[in-house]
Amino acid sequence: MNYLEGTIDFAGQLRCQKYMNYGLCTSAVISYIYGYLVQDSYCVIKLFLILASLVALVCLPAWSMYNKNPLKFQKKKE
Amino acid sequence: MIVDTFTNRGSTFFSKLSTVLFFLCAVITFQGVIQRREVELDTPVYVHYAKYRSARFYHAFRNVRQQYAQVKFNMDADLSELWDWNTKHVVVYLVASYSTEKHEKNQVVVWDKILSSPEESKMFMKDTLSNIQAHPFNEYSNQFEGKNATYTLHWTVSPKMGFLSWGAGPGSYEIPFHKIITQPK
Repeated sequence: MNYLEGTIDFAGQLRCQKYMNYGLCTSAVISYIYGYLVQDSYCVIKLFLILASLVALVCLPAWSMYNKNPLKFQKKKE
Repeated sequence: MIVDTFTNRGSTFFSKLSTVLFFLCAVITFQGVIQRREVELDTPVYVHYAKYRSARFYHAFRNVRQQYAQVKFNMDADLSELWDWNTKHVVVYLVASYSTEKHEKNQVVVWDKILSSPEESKMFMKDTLSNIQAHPFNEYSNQFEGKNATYTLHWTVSPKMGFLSWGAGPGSYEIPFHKIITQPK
């Protein structure tokens, strides 16, 4: 595989999707609460984009935790 | 074999990001719609007089000598209740309303101000003249004589995210226009 492609296995894909969904929704809730506390709706968008950048750092590169369960092919019948 | 590459995950991420961002803006917008803020004012504007004379504004729409009016007024209005976490600024303007033979309803903005903070929205002004440079007050028939106008304070709330909202205070009493006697050129 080409290293720059950043491929991950199937279990890693599911885990990555889970991190992405939970991360973005949690970022939205945290940003809304913080923006309401400081009474500035611009802060909601700014903080959400910052937290989303952190989620992107976790999800986009092919970290080794996404490549722990490679496919095991059947052995060739003799 | 279906592989999940960096660009695939990037595409998925930005798709989810835009969805959540849109939802976040929608929540802020409709919270502003549901918790709509109102202000009740009683006689915010007291008009001393409205005077007119013949003049010529070179930057006006019609560069001719015609009658222009100016208003002197007091204002005591507290619009700080209009501010919440989504308010960008509040535009306040004074509108003169009168009727003529040809046009039943005439409304002219004679004064305006943009308020950028809740502290600035507590307005108390005495003997303020309408800014005739910004809003040349001219009657279409070029005759202010015998006409009376009521003056109403209007405001527009500009949000950071969402929809504009408008409000207005009660109108003043009918104020006649007086002519200023000056030496002609």
